[in-house]
Amino acid sequence: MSYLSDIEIDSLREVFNISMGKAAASLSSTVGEEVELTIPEVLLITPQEAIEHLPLGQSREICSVSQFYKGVGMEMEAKLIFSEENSLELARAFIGKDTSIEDMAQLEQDSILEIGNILINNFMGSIANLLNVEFEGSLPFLNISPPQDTFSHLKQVSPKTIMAALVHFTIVSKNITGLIVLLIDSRLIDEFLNKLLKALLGTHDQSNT
Amino acid sequence: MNVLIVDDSKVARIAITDFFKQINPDLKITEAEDGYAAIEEAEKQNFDIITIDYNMPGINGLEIASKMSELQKHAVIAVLTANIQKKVQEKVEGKGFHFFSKPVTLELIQKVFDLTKKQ
Repeated sequence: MSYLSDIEIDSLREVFNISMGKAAASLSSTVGEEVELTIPEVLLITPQEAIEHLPLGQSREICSVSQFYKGVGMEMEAKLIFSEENSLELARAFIGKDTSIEDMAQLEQDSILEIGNILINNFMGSIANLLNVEFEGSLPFLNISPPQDTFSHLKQVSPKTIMAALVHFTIVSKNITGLIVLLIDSRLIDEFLNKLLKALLGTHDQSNT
Repeated sequence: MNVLIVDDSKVARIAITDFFKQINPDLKITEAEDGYAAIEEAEKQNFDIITIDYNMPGINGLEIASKMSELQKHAVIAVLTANIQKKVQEKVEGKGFHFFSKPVTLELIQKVFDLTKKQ
């Protein structure tokens, strides 16, 4: 697929909006702070464009938690991304202020992985529930790398275009910003879209939308 | 009262332990980082409450819960997971286990604890 209709883009934005809302609520509950979200962006891009242009900010090092999912005939990658400077602050927000610096150093990566696990699984779980399907997910894994390497694994993938859904989030009081990215091989997205349109529009005649 | 916490995340185990201790400081808590360690503990001692993460390396939470129900017939078994998919919840509840979605909070652990009063 190299083109998405307006109704398809609108439906994708809606499902990502609902699902990220659920994920943000879980993050908010985890850190006890308000979480703001941007409107989801949906892009059809080449892997090279993803490597070069997905917004990762100006940080020297990027921290990401990734999980791979299979379901509805698709393989997907969901990624939680933020600058390394934010990672310690995020871990501290998760564990609490009273933790010693030495303990924090030990628990930082584990905290980031658990936050990623909660956010990504709530995000993907909400999508699966809306579509009434089951996604089989991998365990989360952590990667810390320069921004240009964060999506470099996409060099290995075969599709010419991928669908990238992006939602930025901010933990307002702590000035922590991050990004959730969902990457789907655009060749395999038709069944996902069919189920999505059915879930959102029911039996409404989609040709009139 | 004996509690077994099975979770591959150390911070998740710390948080769950902390909430149980807030509810009852006298609880005896044992932690296991995967299914193998959990089975080993369950063969050594009896537990009243067992909390189990779903997505873990090696044996998944549902398989661990099934093994625990054989080894610990009187324990409350609760699956605590960020995997909130309805189909996962149906599988867990279909086997007779309790399902709770992460993040873990004091209220959630209180609900798990209160299940012992209904047993």
